[in-house]
Amino acid sequence: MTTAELLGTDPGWIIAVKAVMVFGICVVATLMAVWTERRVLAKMQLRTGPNRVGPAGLLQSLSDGVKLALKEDIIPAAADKVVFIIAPIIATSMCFMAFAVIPMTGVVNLFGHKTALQLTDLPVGVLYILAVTSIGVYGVVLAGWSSGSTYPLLGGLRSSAQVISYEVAMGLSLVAVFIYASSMSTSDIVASQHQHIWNAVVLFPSFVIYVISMVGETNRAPFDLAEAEGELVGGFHTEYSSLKFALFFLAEYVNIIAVSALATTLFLGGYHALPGLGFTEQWLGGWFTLIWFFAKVNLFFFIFMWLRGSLPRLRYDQFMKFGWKVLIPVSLIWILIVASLRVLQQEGAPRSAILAFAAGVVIIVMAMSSLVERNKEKVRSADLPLGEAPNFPVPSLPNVQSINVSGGK
Amino acid sequence: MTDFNENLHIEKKASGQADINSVPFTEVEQPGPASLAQQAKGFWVTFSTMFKKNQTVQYPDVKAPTAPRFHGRHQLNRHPDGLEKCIGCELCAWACPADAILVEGGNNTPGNQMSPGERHGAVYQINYLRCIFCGLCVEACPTRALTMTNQPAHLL
Repeated sequence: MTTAELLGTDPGWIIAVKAVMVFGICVVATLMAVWTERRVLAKMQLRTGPNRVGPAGLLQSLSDGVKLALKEDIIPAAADKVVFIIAPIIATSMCFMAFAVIPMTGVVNLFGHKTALQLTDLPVGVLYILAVTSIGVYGVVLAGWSSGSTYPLLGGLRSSAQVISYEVAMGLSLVAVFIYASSMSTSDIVASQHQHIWNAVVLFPSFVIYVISMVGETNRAPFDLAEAEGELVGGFHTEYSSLKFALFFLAEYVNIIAVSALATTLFLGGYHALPGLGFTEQWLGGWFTLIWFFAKVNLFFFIFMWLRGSLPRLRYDQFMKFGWKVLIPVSLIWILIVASLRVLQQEGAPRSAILAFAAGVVIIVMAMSSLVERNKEKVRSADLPLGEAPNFPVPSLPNVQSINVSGGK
Repeated sequence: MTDFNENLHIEKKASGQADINSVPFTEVEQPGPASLAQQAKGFWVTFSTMFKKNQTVQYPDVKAPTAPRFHGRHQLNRHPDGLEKCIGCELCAWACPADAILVEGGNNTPGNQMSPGERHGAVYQINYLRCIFCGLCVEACPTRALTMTNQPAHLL
């Protein structure tokens, strides 16, 4: 029985219970994530991190949340009131919705009913996630626009440009997964990985592109240009206070957990145990798979923290250049290769043909890269396009070794 | 509208004088992106730091010893015979840049000899909300009556 058929037998009250559970898991995971991030980042900087509220500071984020909710709620005079209030609601609700199609456990017993901890199983589940996360961007953009202030507007603009660019790369990296699993349903993709091997292994380039673009997608360091403190104050949420700010905060972390969960589902075998530890999946009546799931999600969350602890923020043009000129072409080429291999396999081509194709791809890639290198060399040794060397020190520009700015003396 | 630039006279430099254009041109070599191995090194730094002992002193619970010349709480001293050293001269109050010190002098009377000589400090107050712990008061004190201890001034 597939997961979709299993979920089809759920009575209404089970669905309601699961919806509440998914919501609860997201909120609690956010509180834990904030605490974990502050502690781990502190460890990376030889500090301790929050340790005063509750055991080891565990209740710090809870008390911060309560404090935020009790603060005065200010709506600026220049703000567009309706949009200003709706924006955080859009941002938050959309990232919760993404969790509806994430399979978090295998078959489990929930109040005497056999089901799986997954709210619904759409045949186009991953597309649905991409759709709702892109609607979540509206929350950010509208927040920036409706604040009636300059910095939030700039932050919102940056954020929209950033998320749109990186969503293209993200979507392209997922195409290879769809081709490989011949399905867009999250549970089917998990099942196909269980039968064969993790997608992170066979589709390694897609995996790398996805991990990079998910950082860009969630506006996190080193891609946190939308909330660059030094440049834009707080970015799109500068004018927000109290519970509305708390909602954005919640949305950011739920979003991180959602993209990590998606990465787990699509590339790391979802809720299934590590290869060779399959016997653990029956422990606790199947609920042990939830632990496997969150162990993998936490692995991705650690990558987020590690990046934040190690890398400085990118410059805006470098960031865009990386997205459009590196990630997207690479994933396009990779999709072509995967699709060709898939067709060769399905048409029953002999092994030698597949090997010949792979060798051909390698040769073409090597030829292309050598051509690019040679072109770079040519550009480097080219004559100066403008003027002569000025008699004062200038930093070298790409392609232009010097420019004449003395104005014809 | 007045043209403010009319009154602005900028002298031109003599042609022989050195300016920015006389600096010889030097090509600035910009290093390209670091190799992947070098970038991985940075990640190793943050990762390995997680397992090092952290430097935080849990202050209210653990009190680290202060430095030998730490500017801490003020202290008014006495002579070995028990008389106060302070003569109420107010030089510390005058020296204080933050205006944190209030001194009122009083006369020594035969029945009430507080310090050697004629005068003593009747009122001596230091407002620790204003004090910046610069130590100028200690330098100003002619009788070494006012000194600073090594202990942090606990304001809370």
